[in-house]
Amino acid sequence: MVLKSNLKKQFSAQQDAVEDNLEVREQRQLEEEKGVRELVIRSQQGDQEAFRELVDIYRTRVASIAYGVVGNYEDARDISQEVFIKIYRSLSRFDTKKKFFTWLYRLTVNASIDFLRANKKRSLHDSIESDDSFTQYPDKREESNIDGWFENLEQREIFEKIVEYLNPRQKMAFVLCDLKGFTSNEAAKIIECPQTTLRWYLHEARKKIRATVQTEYPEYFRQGKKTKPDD
Amino acid sequence: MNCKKVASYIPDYISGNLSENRKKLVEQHLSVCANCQSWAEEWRGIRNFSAQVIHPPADLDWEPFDRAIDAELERNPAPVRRRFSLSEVWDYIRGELWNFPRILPLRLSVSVAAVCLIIFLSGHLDFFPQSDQPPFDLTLADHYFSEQDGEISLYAQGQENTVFYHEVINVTSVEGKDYNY
Repeated sequence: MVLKSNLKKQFSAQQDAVEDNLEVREQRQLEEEKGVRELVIRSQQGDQEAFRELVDIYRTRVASIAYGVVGNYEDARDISQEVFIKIYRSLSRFDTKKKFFTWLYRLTVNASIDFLRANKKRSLHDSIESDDSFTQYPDKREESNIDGWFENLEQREIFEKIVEYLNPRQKMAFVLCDLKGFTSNEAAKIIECPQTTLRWYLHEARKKIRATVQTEYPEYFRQGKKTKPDD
Repeated sequence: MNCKKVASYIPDYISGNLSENRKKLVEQHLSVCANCQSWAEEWRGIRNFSAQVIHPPADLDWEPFDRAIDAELERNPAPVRRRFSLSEVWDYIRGELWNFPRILPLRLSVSVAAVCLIIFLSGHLDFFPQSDQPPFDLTLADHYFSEQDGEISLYAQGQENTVFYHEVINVTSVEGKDYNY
């Protein structure tokens, strides 16, 4: 009972979190400018250019969310392709009063998890080997890129190691809330689960990540090796 | 605030999803606790590192993606307004069920009511069509009859078809299998 009430306190504390984050702010700006909404309405009316613009705005975001779950850029790209085709086919039924990105990311999440289910037996090692961008080396890669290639491979292995013990839902929560900066409310809408459940996924994910980092890479993230994509 | 609590707030603090009040408390604690400070730094490292890794590299080949989108746009010049497919209907129903208030007694009572309604309605369904006239020569049928309050119901299996024959007759009480009708 004590544990439960503690958890409840902790959750309610997070509940009144303010939405003050880069990605979310960016999303809100996009929504507020009505750019996205107008694009959606125009593409609903059959304007292909508008749809292409939508694709350009969102494709890297969709791919990065998918990568967080499947761990392979090529697969992530294929998933985002599938998602956009699905979006295009059911665009006429989309209610423009709702948020476009919630719908888009929900489809992404479902497609990624379906993909994992279909390719359950593939391990990380296989996925890195079968990744075209890495097997092309050294024929198609320029020499100047070799250092970057190794660094990238190493980073991906470290990332996979960090999230190794998370299940897909926990990964999703980690990617959406911590890496993409959605609030737990928005992430819960995207994953289609109650907010409390989402916070529980998040809590578990962070706990596991912390444990893994402390045993596997005790100094790695402290020694200035960290990179800051935001800066 | 103790260290354990602060540690649980740090990820939200780093990604800026913490309320002003809590943010101040966390900052206060961080200014005096080196341990938590180092953990905050570490989490920032983990977060930025991971955010960078999941971002697709600039040299990712988007050509297959573009080709697929082009093909789709060519195939369907305008978004098609189709009827709902079965899977979409199912998705909708599932969504509605999912959105139903999460109060267990309410959910239970509604489902019990639904089951009762189904049972009640199914009592009014005719599984065997009734007729006033025997549709075939009943002397040819193997038949079973039961009687209640002067009404006789006859389940008759003929050579061609099976019927439920219902008639009001003047008997008191009789039930059985009659092979010599």
